[in-house]
Amino acid sequence: MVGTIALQLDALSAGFGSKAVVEGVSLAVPKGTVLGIAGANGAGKSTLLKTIARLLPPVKGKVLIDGSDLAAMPLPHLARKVAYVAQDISSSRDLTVEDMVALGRNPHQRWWQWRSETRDKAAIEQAIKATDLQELRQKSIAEVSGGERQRATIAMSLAQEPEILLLDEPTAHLDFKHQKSLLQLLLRLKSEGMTVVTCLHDLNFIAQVCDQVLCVKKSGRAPSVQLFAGSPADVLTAENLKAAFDTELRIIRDSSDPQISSVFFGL
Amino acid sequence: MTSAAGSRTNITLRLALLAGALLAGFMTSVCIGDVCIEPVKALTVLTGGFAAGGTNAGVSTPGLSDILTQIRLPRTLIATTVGAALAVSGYILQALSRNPLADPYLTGVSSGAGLAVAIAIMIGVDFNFMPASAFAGGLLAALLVAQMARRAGGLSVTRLILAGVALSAVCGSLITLIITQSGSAPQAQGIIFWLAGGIAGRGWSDLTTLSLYTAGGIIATLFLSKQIRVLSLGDETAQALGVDVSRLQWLLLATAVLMCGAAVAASGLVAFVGLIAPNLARMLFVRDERVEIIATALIGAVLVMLSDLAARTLGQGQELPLGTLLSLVGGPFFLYLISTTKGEEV
Repeated sequence: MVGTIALQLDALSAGFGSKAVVEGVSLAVPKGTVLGIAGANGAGKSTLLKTIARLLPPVKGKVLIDGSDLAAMPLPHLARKVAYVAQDISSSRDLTVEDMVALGRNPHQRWWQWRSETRDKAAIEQAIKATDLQELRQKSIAEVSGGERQRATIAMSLAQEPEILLLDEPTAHLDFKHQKSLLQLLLRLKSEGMTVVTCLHDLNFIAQVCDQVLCVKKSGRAPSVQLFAGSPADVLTAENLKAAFDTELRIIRDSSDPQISSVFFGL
Repeated sequence: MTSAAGSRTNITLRLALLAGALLAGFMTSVCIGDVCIEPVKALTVLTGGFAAGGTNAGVSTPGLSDILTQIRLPRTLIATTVGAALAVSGYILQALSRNPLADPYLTGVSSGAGLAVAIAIMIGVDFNFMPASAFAGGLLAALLVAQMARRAGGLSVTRLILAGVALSAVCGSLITLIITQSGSAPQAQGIIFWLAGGIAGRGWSDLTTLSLYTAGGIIATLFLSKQIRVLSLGDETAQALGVDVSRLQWLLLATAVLMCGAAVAASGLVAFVGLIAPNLARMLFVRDERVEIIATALIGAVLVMLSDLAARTLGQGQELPLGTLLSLVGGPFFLYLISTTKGEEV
């Protein structure tokens, strides 16, 4: 299936109102691939991701999903295609992990509907299993740890059964074990045809899971621009990273597999 | 505090107890007053009276029947409905602002209604138009506040609260100005009495409008309860889950204002019910919004009904103002809430 374009950014400028934070991003994301958005703090990674999720209207340009303009899609239809996982979610209500995951079925249900149909239940079970939350399902999301809440949020987005999954810093609260399971989960979702776009600070995670990296860079007071985009093996070079982060970083490539590289501080 | 309240039998039992309290309160309220009526007699009149079309069928004293059907019954029903309306209105505003301390007063609805009534009394509008004036004032205030809270893509909750508080302050000052500057003492007295809240002198005609708005509002809230839960995850996540957040916020606000406006029109300014009832409901019932909404309505109904009973029986010769009585209970409860609510929730 790789080859069909799932998501296309067409000269996209993202920002607030008429003020662009990132401008001129053009990129195509084939179905069943993972795009990582990298960049220094304040470069506009999250703003870009929110615009792709239609939480912010584009300042200029377009976001196309399966060739149709995102802005023209009815919201429930969009939510059945695209799921967005914010960095930190809480609820003003006392919800259990399972309650929260079940809300992922909202776009598939009628707006007043509480009862889960067989299909809803199956999707909820699958999402809970995929994120290893069986033990925590009855716990209040206010009582679980940040990492567990993050997994619950990811489970909620999986219950949406989207075609495109947008993740804002999904590794932020996760320990090594759960970073690894997230990595495995993303690789599995990818093999099942899911398209993933994720903002990530962790360049090693990007190198492991992403098919494409998009790096945005801010210079001075002007909006950020697309610095480079391509496969991690091609674009994660010492020169590119210095340009992106304004600091020296070292890169180690595995001689047996040119795709896998490791980035570290090299102090 | 709340984890034990989950099981289904437990929930049914608690709801049944609340409904029982409502019934018991209802009978007490109907039977007790300047003239005390035996419950059995009252039941005979109420059941027989309705069968015979509201006349004094089956009772030897005609006065008794009139007291019941023309005074006590409508008054008790109005108190019940006002309580339910204010309580559910508060429930919605708390859900909307994600703040357990929100209530109808926060949106400026009540004080807008109050100002409208003060103006109406000052310019000598007929007393029959008082509810209509209150309703119009409340609606106008809500629209004004909503307009100020508007931002790209929906309502800003912080702006809603700030604007509501500011508008309430302005309305309050204007009311004080009207009272102090009005040349006539009876007019000032009338405004003060109305503002203190009360159901004295209301009849069946007031009940019709009020109950229509309240029933409609509660049903709408029950239908919206699933979306209320989605909204609790924040605007962005709710939108990502397919909710038109801005439309939902307007819908919820309109429902809350209609219920609150109708209640204020019928009973003047009755504070704190919208604050206390939803919080009590959340303490007694967790996690299921539908149960919470029904419990909120029941608790609100019982609260105002009992307060109204106290208002008309405890005073020596003269009725106590209902709103004042409720504030006496509500104020300390509000303080208790503030002291037990975690900082981040407020």
